Amino acid sequence: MEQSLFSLLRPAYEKTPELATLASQARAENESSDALLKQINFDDNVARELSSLKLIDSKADAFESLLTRPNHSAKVGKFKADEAGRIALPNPSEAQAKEEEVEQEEEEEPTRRARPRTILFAVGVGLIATVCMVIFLISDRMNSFEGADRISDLLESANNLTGDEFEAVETNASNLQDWFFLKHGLEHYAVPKEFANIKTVGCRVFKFDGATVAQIMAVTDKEVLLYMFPSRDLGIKIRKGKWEIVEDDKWVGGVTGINNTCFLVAFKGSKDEMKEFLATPTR
Amino acid sequence: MTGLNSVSPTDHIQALYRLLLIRTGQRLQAENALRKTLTESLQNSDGQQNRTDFLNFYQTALKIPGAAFDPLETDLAGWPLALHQLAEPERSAITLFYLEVFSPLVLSELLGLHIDELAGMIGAARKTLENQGK
Repeated sequence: MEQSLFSLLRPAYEKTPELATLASQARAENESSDALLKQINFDDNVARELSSLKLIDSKADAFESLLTRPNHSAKVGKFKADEAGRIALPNPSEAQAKEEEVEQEEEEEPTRRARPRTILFAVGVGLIATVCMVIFLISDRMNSFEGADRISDLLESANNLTGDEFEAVETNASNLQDWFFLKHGLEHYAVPKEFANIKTVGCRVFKFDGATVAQIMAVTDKEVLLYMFPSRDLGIKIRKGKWEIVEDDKWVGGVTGINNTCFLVAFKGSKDEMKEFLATPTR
Repeated sequence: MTGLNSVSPTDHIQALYRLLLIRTGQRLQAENALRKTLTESLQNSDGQQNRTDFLNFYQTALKIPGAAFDPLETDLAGWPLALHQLAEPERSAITLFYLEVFSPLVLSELLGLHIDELAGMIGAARKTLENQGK
């Protein structure tokens, strides 16, 4: 009889009472052993592919949770398998007691949903933050002007100055119109009245992005640079008489328009310092 | 085996899914069949016994109608497809044999067969598979 069970031999089954003797006999005999090996190899291939079919973990967990809820509502603890592979589930009275316990716990615990007031508060905070952001963006836009980025570039270029680039010209800013015209043919020289008496120490003309820029080094209580250039050459649109302030990493610039000329005064400092500087009537 | 001591509930869930997938040939159908198997088995045992025997789950699973092989409908390939193409009851018998969740004796009881008949069925099914694989 036992020989007829040969087809049931698999390593996992060899120690079962019904196959143990047959398995040891088959292993002992050469011919049977070869046949068994061949059978096991074939079965292993099929079994390996079969075991590759797998329910994804989340679904397996969901199905397993069905087992832990025999009444589809009661929660029970983990169960243990007995020797025959049977799973112990609690009896109905135990399950009912557990269910009541869970319900009691649920009643005792306050609801963890957010209160309407909390939701309103969160929405309100969100709205206020959005409004503040919009105001900030509009205000930032209003405080800027067309071509402000070119002024920033111009200020940044001042970092490379050594002082040797300038020709020494010691006079007042109001007296330099002829010097720039005669020496460089520069026509767009214009200085605001409040800068007319500023003491200059050096002048030069240079090209910046295709625009001819007159630059003056002057000294007040600090070292100051003055720039003049045609506004349209650098695409700058600024209202006449209105001062705009542009801040760079090191430099700060005050910009205003005089006719078609853009006038820029710059020094190393902050926006507040420039505001104070521009507010001082005489220099 | 028994080897059964080491079969966890999760292993049984996966084994039931594999059995039902081989029987139905489609993942979605196998999942639905598994849900039905568990629900029905639990309902049947409710209030009558305080132990759930996984054998009962497999008995319920085997009652759910399988599907004949349809090349356009199946999600299977390779040896699982070859298993799906076998006729019943060989298909379920050899699938359960390869799943190794029950000893041959328990398996023969589950299938309502004498162990000799089970051995004959497994031998025949293996031969068919070998021929398909050639």
